[in-house]
Amino acid sequence: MKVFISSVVFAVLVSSNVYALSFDSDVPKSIQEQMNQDLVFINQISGTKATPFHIKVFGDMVSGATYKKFFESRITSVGLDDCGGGAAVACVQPFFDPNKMWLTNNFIKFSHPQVARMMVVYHEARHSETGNSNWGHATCPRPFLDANGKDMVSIWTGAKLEGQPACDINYMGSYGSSTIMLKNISKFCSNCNEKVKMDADIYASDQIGRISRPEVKKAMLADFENN
Amino acid sequence: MKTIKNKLILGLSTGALILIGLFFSPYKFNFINQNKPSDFDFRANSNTTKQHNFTVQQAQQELPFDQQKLSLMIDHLPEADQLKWQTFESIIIAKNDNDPRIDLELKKLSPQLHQALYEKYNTLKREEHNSRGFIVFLIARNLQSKDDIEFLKKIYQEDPCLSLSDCHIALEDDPHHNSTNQMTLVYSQMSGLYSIEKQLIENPNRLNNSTFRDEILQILIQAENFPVISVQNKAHQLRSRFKL
Repeated sequence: MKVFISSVVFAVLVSSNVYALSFDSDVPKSIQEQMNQDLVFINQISGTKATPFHIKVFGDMVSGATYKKFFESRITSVGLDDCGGGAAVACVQPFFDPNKMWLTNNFIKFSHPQVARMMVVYHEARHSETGNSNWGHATCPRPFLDANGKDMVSIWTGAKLEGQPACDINYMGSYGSSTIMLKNISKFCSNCNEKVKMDADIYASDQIGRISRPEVKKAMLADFENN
Repeated sequence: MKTIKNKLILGLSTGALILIGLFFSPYKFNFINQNKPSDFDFRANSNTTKQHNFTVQQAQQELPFDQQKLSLMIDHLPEADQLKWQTFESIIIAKNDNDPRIDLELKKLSPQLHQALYEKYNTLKREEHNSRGFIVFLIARNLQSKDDIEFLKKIYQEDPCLSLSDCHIALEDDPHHNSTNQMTLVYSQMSGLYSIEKQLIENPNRLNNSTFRDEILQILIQAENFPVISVQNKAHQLRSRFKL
């Protein structure tokens, strides 16, 4: 009887970690395994706090269950594509299928920290929301300057971000929501190790640079610092 | 003639029936969904990969690959350190960044293990950003010796990595996610700065030691000279914050 109960408890624990996600047959097993491992990592996150902006976007405190619910209510299947080439690791095409995410071979080829990969996955999941016009990005202002008054550019190609559809004017969009998720993981995750917390801080602190309205950025910084 | 006419009518009727069937089929959108995004070419910013015209000559220096030297170092570690080394290697292979052993077993490491980590860093491909940054994190959160300081200073003297697929070649990148990609290119450098920051926040009294203060300053000055603005800015921010 004890063995039976233990087996049931174990099965429940394991199944609570598994995402209801189907992979197309052409998605390599190595990509499927990495995606599943990354989602299990997110699902295991624990915490009892969150900032007000986090609660507004994700509906609850920092926890794996919160993030699992967010993801599963948007994405149910995964396909393989090159997402336009370049260094993309994931994309969505909600006009074809709002519940499908496409991963590229770069998902396992490039050596991103786990948190960075998940930031892109959750960013793309946010874009799948047909009801919110897919949280389309705003055009970055001209000029689009950093805190030091210098043009925001691609570091090696020198391409300016100004005029590109690569900004958000609202904290609810894909850049804003993924920044809020990571900053909250960095601050409130109770079972994340120091590396994960540091990584979350590094990528969130960078991602907030895509919020082009100073007053929105200021409100986000206050949300992180005052809570 | 009549037979031919009958066949023609039969053929046309069959074709019409198939077309009607397809039109009313509940699965018609599945045909569309089976296409991949790359089958269509109406995205505003199609990011076809273009190799840039320039390469950075300096970036062509390869780090020394001395796996044999590393194996010898590991063989000569005390048993407790060898167990820690196995833990470290298993974490790198598993790619599980949230392994609790990172804090439970790898927080305080012996000077010999630090030496092995410097060597391991040099054996990794430059594109192994997460593993290299992990090593920098382990050293920087547990700064013990002048060798640690020298190791960190060298991180900021490296030639910058130009793209995720090949550190020697700069490739055009999609503006949608290029800040994430660019952050990963400097992950080792950022990992060092964030670890130093955390250490100084938790233990600001360490800066009362003038030798330590000077060593941290040397690292930050080196980081300010690293040719990537995000690294320079973070180093500058730390100097301002800790009045260095």
